Amino acid sequence: MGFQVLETSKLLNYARARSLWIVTFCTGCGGVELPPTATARFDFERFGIISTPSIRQADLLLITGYVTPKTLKRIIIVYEMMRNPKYIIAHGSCPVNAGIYWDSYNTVKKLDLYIPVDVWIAGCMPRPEAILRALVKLMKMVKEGKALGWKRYLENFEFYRKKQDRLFGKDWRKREIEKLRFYIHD
Amino acid sequence: MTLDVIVEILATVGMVFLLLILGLIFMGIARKVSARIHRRIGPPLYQPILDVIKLWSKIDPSSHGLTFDLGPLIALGGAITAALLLPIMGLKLLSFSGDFIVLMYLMELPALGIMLGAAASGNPFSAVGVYRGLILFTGAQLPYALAVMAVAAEYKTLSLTEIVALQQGSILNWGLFRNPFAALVIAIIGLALLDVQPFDIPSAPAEISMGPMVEYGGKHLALMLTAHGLEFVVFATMYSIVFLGGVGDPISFIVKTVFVALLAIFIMNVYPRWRIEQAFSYLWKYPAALALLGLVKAVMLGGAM
Repeated sequence: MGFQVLETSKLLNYARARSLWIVTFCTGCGGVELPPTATARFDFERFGIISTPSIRQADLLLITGYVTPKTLKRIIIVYEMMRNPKYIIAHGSCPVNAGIYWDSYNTVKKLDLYIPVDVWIAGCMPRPEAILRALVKLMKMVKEGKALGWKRYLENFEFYRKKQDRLFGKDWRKREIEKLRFYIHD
Repeated sequence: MTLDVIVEILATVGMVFLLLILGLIFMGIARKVSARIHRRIGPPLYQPILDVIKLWSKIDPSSHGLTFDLGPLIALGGAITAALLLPIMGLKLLSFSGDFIVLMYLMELPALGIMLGAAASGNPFSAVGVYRGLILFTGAQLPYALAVMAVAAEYKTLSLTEIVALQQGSILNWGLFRNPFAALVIAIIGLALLDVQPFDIPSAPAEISMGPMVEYGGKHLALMLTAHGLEFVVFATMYSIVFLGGVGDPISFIVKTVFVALLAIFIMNVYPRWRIEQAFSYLWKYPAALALLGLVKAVMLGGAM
């Protein structure tokens, strides 16, 4: 994976900040707070944020609950399919430090070791106000060109890859693709 | 002589640019009005322009071959050619004696281009979306062709300029009152061609995650959004020209096209999505029967009221 150069200017950063498209990949129970954030009372579309069903079109991945190694595989695959620049918000106590699953053998405690997270939201559950505050903070970071998680991932790919391999075993990407072989026709 | 050519080229480029911006603004109006219907605040009117700028600025575009790349280009090219056929505000850029028929066929090209590109992407959701889209188009063809024939028989011409000239004078000369059946049918078919509810079966976001568009992102999607907005404007302008007395001056252009677009937006927000076989049997029953009535009326009564 080579290093990619991103064009930046005031207009481009403003457009990026004002049009964050969320991919609706809701892990755990946190996804239940997203419909109130999207609908009439809080309405995140006034910031240009919409949720898109397609990974290729999305800019922002919300991780909204506890992360098991099995889910983390999918999260990493989804994150790598998204196009740069891309951002991650970890939403709720569970992604921060596994929350009430702090002594579980099958929950990822330090999400930051496997994928780069831009903004964390604490709380169980975070209210829609907290989600909006995180989104506005991410918008500010994007506008100033400071949301560089995707760049960290590219530059330190070997580090992240080592950690992922230690958790899932070597060649886990190949094994995951083999499982999806049935659906791919080209 | 050369000056005329330069002026014509400038007018063409300016008109295309204006219509592209207007298409994106129309999509902004659609999002804003939908939000107000849902009692939300909604994004600003220029939101689709920001979306297109953002999509152009994405890096790392992945491609699935030449056909995949050509799909959005065919869509945008078809929409621009259709836009140049329209006599807007006294400008007749590509007008000729049979432009109504050509326009009607070019209106279908954007959706077909997207389907062509999507079929090359190899994604199962794209395949399902393309399959649904082609079935929907087959369903729309019969009433569409009958309604176009009814309009042609009503005016006894296939030139858009002459159609506009025939509607001048009184408001009762408008195509809407001369042949209401054809006007209704073209409005319904327009919803199917523009891929909006209740006919957004090909790109059902909740079931098959955008259907044909699922593999498209970045610059491809920016082209597609532009083409879709332009198609929206072209349809609204075509409807105003054929049924609402033409768009001779800027004020009537804006008022009539926004009126047509608002009607589509209200219908879009009120009616839920049909299943594919419901849409197909609906299209071959009621719009086809209405279009046949319109054709009979046009042939029996001619151009008379």
